[in-house]
Amino acid sequence: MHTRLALDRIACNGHGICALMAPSCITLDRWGYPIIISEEIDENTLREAKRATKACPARALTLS
Amino acid sequence: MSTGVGQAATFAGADSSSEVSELSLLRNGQAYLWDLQAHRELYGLLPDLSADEIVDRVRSAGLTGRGGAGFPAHLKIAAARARGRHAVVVANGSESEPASLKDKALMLHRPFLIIEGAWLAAKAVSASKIYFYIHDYRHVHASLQRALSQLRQQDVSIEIAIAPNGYVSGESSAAVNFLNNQIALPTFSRPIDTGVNGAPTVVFNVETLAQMASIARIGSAAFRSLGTPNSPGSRLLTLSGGVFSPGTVVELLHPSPTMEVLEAAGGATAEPLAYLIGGYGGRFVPPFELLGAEENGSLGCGLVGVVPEGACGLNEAQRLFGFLASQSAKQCGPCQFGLPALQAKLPAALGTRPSRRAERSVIRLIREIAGRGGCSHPDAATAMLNSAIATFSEEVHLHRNRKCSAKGPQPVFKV
Ligand code: SF4
Ligand code: SF4
Repeated sequence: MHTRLALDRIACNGHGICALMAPSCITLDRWGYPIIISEEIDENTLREAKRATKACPARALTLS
Repeated sequence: MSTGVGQAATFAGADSSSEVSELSLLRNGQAYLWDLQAHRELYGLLPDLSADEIVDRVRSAGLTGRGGAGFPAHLKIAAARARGRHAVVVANGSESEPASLKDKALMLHRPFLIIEGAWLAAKAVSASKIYFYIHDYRHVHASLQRALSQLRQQDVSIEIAIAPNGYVSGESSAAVNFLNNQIALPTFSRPIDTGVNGAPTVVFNVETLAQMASIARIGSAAFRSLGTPNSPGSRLLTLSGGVFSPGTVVELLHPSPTMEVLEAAGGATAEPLAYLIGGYGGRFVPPFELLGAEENGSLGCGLVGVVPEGACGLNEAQRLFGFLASQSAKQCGPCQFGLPALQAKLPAALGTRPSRRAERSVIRLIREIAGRGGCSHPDAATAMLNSAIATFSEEVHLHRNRKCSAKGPQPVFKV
């Protein structure tokens, strides 16, 4: 079972909280918008990815 | 003939040999068909096909979308049928590419054909609702209304929705967003999943629909006798840029190495240095690649623009990029902030006193922006720029030596 981290770029408004919550999955570009390092989430990154998904105020992140 | 849409659009006559024009979309080049009787005289009645027959014909014809993405039409229909619910059909005539006129011309000259195609699509996906999604061009609107008042179908209702202008408003999710919320901006959800009123929605370009009506009449084999194996059927082109009559719409029946299709617009004003194909968010190609693009159908919305000798392709690309940057819907950071940041670097990188540093930051910015929008707008804008840098490599060298081929101030492509 693969888990994927998806970003709705239209909903995202660049709060950048996700990168703090999941530094191994997400970094920010020069304008403060997330760059997903790898969409594939494994057991090592799942906790972080879940945390970021929960914390995003715009609900722009989804795990599926 | 004027379309009343700012620029003259002329339908140039298709191939004059009658055998071929029997199968073509326009049949005879010139006539406006505003009257149902005239339409039926030219095309005959629309055969009464079942939903399965429609799907079969569209599939075996190999019809692809004529709005830009070139997606196989039968796959779109199949996806809607697989949802097992009543779908909605959107006939997209919003044609937001500034220089493209073929959809407007088609809606003016052949409104009945498009309506018939929309019926066929509706029958195939069991839709009872069709929306025409267009911009506010008075004559186009009037032409569709006049045709709709003459041609009705009992179990399908058709409505015309007029969207505000804007480059990205023609995107299919923007069309659905407008029909649902009056906001003509792209969304994250796909029309086929969550479309108009939540129903699975298929958005077809108006030429794609007209081609369906043509296929219903002539059959898929005859349709395939036009075009190429990789790009079956004829297609409408808008000829633009360095031709004597920019804005001419012509039906391309068979790609030809001699580019006689340009003759429809009076020919090129000077030896073509390159072509801009597929719109302002399309790509520049050297002359020898145009035939290949026609043969494999990678013509996007069908815009073919000549960059004539005496023009500077890099100047053109910069201006087009500036236009595209201004058309960001400002919903996604990399598009909203990235495109203007990149635009600001272009003069220092591609002008006549280029610095290596600016060139490097342009390359870096392109990499940072591409693929990171909610829709494909930033990808298209950066791909256009990349194609210009590749196609006009000689001009890049000239600029590095502080020279430029631009002979006059006159821009080739207007924004
Ligand atoms: S927390 Fe949410 S809104 Fe903020 S940058 Fe990350 S994805 Fe975007
Ligand atoms: S990528 Fe640009 S044009 Fe597309 S939805 Fe985002 S902001 Fe709008």
